[in-house]
Amino acid sequence: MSSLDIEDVHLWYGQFHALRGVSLSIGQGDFLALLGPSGCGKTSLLRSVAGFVHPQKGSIRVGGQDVVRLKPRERNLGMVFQHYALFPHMSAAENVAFGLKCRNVEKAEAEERVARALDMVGLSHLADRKPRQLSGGQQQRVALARALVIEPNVLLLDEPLGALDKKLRVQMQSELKQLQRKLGVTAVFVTHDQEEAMAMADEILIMRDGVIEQIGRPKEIFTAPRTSWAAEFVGSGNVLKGRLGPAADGARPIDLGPGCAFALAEWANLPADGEATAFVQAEAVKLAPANGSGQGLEVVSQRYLGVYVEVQAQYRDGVLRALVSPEEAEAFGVGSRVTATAAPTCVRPMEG
Amino acid sequence: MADASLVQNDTEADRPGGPGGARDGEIAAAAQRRRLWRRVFQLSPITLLYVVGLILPYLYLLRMSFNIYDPMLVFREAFALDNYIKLLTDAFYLQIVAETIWLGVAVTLFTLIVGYPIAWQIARAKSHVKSLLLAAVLSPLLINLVVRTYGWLAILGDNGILNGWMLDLGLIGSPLPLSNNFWTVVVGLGHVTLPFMVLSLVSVMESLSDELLEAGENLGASTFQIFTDVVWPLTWAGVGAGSILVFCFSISAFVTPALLGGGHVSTVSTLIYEKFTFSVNWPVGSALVFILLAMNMVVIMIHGRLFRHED
Ligand SMILES: Nc1ncnc2c1ncn2[C@@H]1O[C@H](COP(=O)(O)OP(=O)(O)OP(=O)(O)O)[C@@H](O)[C@H]1O
Ligand SMILES: [Mg+2]
Repeated sequence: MSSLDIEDVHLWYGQFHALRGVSLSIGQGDFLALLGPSGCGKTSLLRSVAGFVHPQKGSIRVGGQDVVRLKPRERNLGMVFQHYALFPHMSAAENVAFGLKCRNVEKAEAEERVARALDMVGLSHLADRKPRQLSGGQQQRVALARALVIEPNVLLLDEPLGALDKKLRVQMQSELKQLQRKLGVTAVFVTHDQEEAMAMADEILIMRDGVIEQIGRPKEIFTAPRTSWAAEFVGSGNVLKGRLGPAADGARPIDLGPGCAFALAEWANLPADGEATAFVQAEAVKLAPANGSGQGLEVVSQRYLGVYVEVQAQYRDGVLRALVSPEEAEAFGVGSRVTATAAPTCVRPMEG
Repeated sequence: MADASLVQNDTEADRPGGPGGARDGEIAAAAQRRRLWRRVFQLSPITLLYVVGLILPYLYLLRMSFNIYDPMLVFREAFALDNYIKLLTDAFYLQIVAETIWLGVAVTLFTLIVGYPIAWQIARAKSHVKSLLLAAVLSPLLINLVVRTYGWLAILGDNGILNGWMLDLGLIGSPLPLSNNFWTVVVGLGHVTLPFMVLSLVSVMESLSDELLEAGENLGASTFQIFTDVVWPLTWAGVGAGSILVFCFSISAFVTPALLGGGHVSTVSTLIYEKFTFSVNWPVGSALVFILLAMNMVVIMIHGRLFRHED
């Protein structure tokens, strides 16, 4: 269990510059989610840490020790592969025991540790089964036990839940999280899924084309994305572009055309006058019926999302998304007119 | 086409009978008979070929193997086991059977040792390199058997290229006996059978994912450990398939042992040839045919035991 520090890592595959100066640092026992669209370099970063690819530049330190020159087998990192990569000819217990065998752990001790690891993932009763006799979720647990039993410095997981169905995935998310916390193991977790990252991670790193777009606590990422690209990727709200007006009541209004009344409580870093970009979460947008026909914004669609209804209204520059309760949504049927606003503290300035 | 209809027939035949009485049963039975005949008809060309080309000669030889050799009449009609008893008790014949098995084992090991790394490279190569390598491996099969065999003599013979070079360079004073011995035959047979071994291995090695090797490395295994604990067990089926092809091919081969062995290598096959053409002992020659057949069967059975699929 160690910290992981990555500094200015560059990786080329031939001509292709896959990682372009990635730096990050996670503390001992922290859980970091690597989030980003397909092909942005998440797997490449994880494989650089594991030692399967060799960054041409930069340093990777595990618990303070530079591992760039070490072979994968010398790094003592636990890895859970996307397709588990269980050895098909070995039973669950033999799979878990493999890492201990490689470390020449004494037989009795190894047996005990394997039993404990299998018990930890709730698979003691299936120890003798071969991987193909196990369900996807069970295979996933074996892979996890195999990675954890060697007491790795850092646990690396590459979309480990990608192959599971939604229900099992949610269950595994919380189990995995609990286990990680209980063992206090430092973990890096790759995922496509914003909700999964949100549910599990202490910290989320958003990657785009080999660079870090944003790194922060889940709440920060979801309520205050740094760029409009990140906002769009996270998909949790609206990017607002408009001219700032003079401060009033401790907030500066942002002009988005008729029917919208948004203001920023935080504007210190924005230009005194001129164009600004801001972000507001869909949950934070408050709608009200507009008085007088032809006033305000026209509701163009409604979509049920379980607990919430997403209402989309046309404003000057595009479509504004708001999440409201089903009861409220009745007042905002398609074709009705509304006005939109949000608390100034929920409207966050962005870099554009 | 034929395959599709066969499958369809199977599903029809498997369908459980409806609620009807005996009449329905009769109709179903008639339909089944029709299907059976259709199948026989579809398979008839290959069946004919088998019967005329293989089964009939074998039956003739089987009958012949129970006759008794007679120097004057070639053979005397009989129903005796004498030939078999002689072949299985006489030290001379047992020695030849042993040498034949040893030849099969040696060629199999040779192709396995040479072929395994080649197959690994092919399985891991990028697709355009892969097809080139495969073509190279398959090339021995494209050369005529006799030409290929004399090619080896041109290289390994007393006046061959290899001895010529070594003599010219003064490395040796007189030609080394590189040809006309057991190992020449092993090399010659290994050359032809290598494609079988390599292709069998490539097919299993291709299904071995890189992730498994990486998982091994990640868990701390050395290259050697990954080989013994992961790669070898997972390519075992290919080793088995390749070995049985090479072994059976080698113990049944005739031209290569006869030409490259230069008369010094006797196998069951060369002995069969000798019995039929020179000593004109058809009964013993026929019995030998079945000894060879039995050897192949035993090997196939052993393979079935060793490489039985689990479950
Ligand atoms: N071995 C390789 N050779 C050349 N290019 C590669 C190689 N591996 C990955 N790439 C390229 O590097 C980029 C990053 O790949 P990577 O696998 O890290 O993406 P990812 O973020 O994990 O994507 P996904 O979410 O689809 O798994 C991609 O554009 C990919 O095409
Ligand atoms: Mg990936």
